[in-house]
Amino acid sequence: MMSACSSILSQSRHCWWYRRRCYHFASIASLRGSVTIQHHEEYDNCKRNKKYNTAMNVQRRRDISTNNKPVLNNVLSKEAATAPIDYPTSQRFSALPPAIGIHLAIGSVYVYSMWTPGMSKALGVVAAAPCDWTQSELLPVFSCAAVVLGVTTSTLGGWVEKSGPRMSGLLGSACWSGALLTTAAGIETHTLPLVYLGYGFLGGVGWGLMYLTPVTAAMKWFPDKRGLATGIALSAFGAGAAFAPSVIHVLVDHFAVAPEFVGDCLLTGGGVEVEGVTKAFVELTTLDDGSQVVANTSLVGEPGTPVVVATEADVAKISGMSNCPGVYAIGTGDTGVSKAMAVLGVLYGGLGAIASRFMKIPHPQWTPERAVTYGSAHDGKEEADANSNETNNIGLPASYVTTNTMQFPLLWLAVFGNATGGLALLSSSKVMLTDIFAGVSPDIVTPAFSTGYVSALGVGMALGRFGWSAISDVLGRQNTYALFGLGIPIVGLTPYLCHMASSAGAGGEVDMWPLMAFYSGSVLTITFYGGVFSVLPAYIADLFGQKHAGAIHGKALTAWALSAVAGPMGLAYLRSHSYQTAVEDLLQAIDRHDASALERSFGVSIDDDAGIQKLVNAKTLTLEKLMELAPADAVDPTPYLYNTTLYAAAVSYSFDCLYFTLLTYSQYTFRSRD
Amino acid sequence: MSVAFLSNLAIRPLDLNKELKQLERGSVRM
Repeated sequence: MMSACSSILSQSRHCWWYRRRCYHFASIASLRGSVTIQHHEEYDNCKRNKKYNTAMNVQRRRDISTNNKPVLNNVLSKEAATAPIDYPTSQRFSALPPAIGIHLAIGSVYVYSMWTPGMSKALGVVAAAPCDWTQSELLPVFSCAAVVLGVTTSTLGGWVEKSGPRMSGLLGSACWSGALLTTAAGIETHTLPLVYLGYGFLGGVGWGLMYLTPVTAAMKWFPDKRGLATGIALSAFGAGAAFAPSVIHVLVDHFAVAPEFVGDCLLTGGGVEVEGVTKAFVELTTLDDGSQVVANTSLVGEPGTPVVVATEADVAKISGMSNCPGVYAIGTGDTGVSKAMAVLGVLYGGLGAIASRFMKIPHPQWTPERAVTYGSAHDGKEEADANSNETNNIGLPASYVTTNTMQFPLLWLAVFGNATGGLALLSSSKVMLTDIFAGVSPDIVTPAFSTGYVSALGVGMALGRFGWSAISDVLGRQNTYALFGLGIPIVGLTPYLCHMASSAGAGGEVDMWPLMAFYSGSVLTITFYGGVFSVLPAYIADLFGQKHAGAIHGKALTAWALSAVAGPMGLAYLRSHSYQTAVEDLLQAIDRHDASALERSFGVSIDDDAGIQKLVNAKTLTLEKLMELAPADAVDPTPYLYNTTLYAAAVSYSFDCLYFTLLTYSQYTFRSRD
Repeated sequence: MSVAFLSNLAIRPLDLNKELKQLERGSVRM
């Protein structure tokens, strides 16, 4: 109590009221001529303190002006973010909310697939126009971001450790915000390079920095429960991805503007008599580049207007606009994607910046109380050694780990295999749901159901991140990785489910279990995808020590980057190959049934391969339109388009098992040699 | 032969404390 009072008193000597009191005493003393020694000393101290403070302020200002150090540097520096060495263990949870905030902001980087449908219809709005971006042009944007993520984490992992969490978090937030704003500008002006610069490059840098910063900081606070710490931080990353689809959906619907409706369409055009009244239809002309315009002879619409034809399937995919199938003018509507993206760019940037400001890390010598008491209670060498990995200031350097251990490449392979399988499922599952299951049971699989499914995948990822990493604290990291091998049978059996669903639908009876199995199986597999990344940093810290775990984690994330490139590229190839095969099969069926049907509808002969290819590339000739011309007994090839993709995913999951087997084998031989 | 080679040399179990001591002594080249 006494010491507290004296410390308050000593601090209060610098206060204005104490100084005024000193001056007051001095003036009274000089008047009366009876100055006590004590008051003299206090007065001198006061003057000295005042001089000292003024000198320090001048020096500080000089430092700022001469060294060109921004004022913010004081707040953002690593020193400012470092908590005192005696920080209470019970308060370490207070370090988590800023980490959660940063991950909530960056989590939406995953739901790039929510933007692509709108981006691929930016001009046509209701259906893709020939001048619109294709999926093959848009999919590599995410791969590009992933490559930049890998480069950022592997090169800047050390810098993140060095500069502290506030600086790296703020830089990441600025990049992520800039990424969304640049991409929005790219969509608005229909400039693809801006999309690549925004989401592809800036998004990748922001992703890397905002991913690494909170994980590294959170693990330092919980050296005794690393799985729990990374789980909490990374489940926020998953939660960001889970909330994002709903937010994007609401914003896109809010900003969407329906395009101008030209009229109804028959593939043959002209007029048809309906109940005694001749109903006019828009007649279309297909240009050399595959695009369609209103024909000069058309009874409806202004001739020469570039248009798109929206089928019932196209319209069913659109929510927020009450459109009916027919012909729509190109460039008259707005998907709302660019404006929604700009709004989210500002929101996420603000959230990330505020959260970064409050990030903190423990002192390098800080250890949680439990570890300290354990070490001091058991003075034996073995216990101390066993416990030494629970401190933050030991660890193998990243360069040593990558070149001198076999555990790192094996871990890298396991992450690569798991991430490739997960990404394959993640990127194709929503399309599979809408293409396959929506056709079988359209009453259940509505656009809202599909959005809910994407959210469920996000929730699955969040639960996986938290659940699997918390479980790994109990089960052990290696055993948890072994459980992820369950992805092999799940992904491998999905083609069978799709086949069951479509065959049940063709029979007239809608069976629910394939849909339920697909839904639950894919969500479970996505939890593995989340789990592999949340267990990874804790596993790295366990294996190689915490000191350089951030940098090693950054290098291990190159596996994720490579999988994000190889995955979508491989997927695009496999899908386009399957699509091409399906088109050829349907054309053969049409040729056997009615060879002239294609020429009547699309003005191209069935033998004209180049002409057909041009129409397929321009999206004028699709599988749905070919199915309308095909004989009734023709099998719809849509459910089988993803078979090769899923088998490839199952193979990539087996990397995980390979890793587990090799590591278990090495441990077994080690024990037997001992 | 190759499996024995892998298990004996390449995927030796990692002992963090041992590796750190080796690094301190400078007996391991980086």
